[in-house]
Amino acid sequence: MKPTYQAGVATGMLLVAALAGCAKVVAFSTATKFGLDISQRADQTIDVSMGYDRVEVASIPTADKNASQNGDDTYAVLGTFNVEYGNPFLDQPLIIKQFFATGWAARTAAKTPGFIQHFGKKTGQILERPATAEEQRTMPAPPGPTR
Amino acid sequence: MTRGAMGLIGLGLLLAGCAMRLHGVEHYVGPVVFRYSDPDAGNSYVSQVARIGVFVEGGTQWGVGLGYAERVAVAPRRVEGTSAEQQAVPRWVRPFSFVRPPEPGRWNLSLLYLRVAPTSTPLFVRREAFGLEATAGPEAMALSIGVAIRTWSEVPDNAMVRLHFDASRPLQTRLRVWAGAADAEPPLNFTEEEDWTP
Repeated sequence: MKPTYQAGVATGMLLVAALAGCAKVVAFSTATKFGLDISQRADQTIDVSMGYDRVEVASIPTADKNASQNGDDTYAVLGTFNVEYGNPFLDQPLIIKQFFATGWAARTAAKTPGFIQHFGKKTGQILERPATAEEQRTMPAPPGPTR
Repeated sequence: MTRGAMGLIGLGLLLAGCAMRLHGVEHYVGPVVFRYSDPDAGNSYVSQVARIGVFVEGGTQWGVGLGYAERVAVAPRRVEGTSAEQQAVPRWVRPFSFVRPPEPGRWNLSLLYLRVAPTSTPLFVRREAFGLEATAGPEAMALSIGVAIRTWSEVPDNAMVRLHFDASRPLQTRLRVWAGAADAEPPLNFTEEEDWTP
């Protein structure tokens, strides 16, 4: 198995309200940085990093208007977001696979059997995937025998 | 100032370039290498432009930099589910070059001036910078010294977007967008992953 890190996997979510921000569209960003970096993320927080850093950000805007009254729907988001990355110099390139629906497209998809099956399958894959080395390292140790 | 430092500055100025993206037209002044996907294949327009030296960027994204910079942009060929026509095929033109016209799918070099038009708003962008870069705009807002590799993607309202990007094969990026009416049935083949393996 290629020693890549499965980093931001999120799926099967119908988000009714989400992160606040100034962006007016659903946006996703990733960053790999080595050195000094001062950047403003999509969620509008300023990030200063020195050395190595890796970031994945999803930004889902709030609507200015009452979507349920106007018949519009800018709240609903349904999707999967999968990022794989490793050392780009060792044939471990960045791979992004994403599938997102917003607004009424998300609401319709959430009621369509084919999409329900797809997102259910994806959720199952995420729940059953083996933990990465990083996750295993940070996982709390099981309680040992006591005397 | 040492002779070496002066030489580096001179080389940087020699390689200096400028990129301007405005109103659906991209202009590149100075040396750049570029490649783009075959406009007759795939479901998206992919472009990859790289440059080295001192560079300035303007238009939809502003910035200055020193070192190596690369930008991959992916725009959908058409929006499914709507009556909108297919986006016009971008034309890559080197007006001041006597070599043969650029070819899709392979690296090309532009020394003086490169014009790309018409271009549509990309829904996915990957920016890579080795060196110093200060940039501001929707794609990134950052000041970095060292290595910075960023991606940015956007999903329009009331739409369905599927993206598959592999940094080792950027020209094979797949991007599909559907934006049908509120009562329209979304296409089930958006869930078929086997079609998305490059």
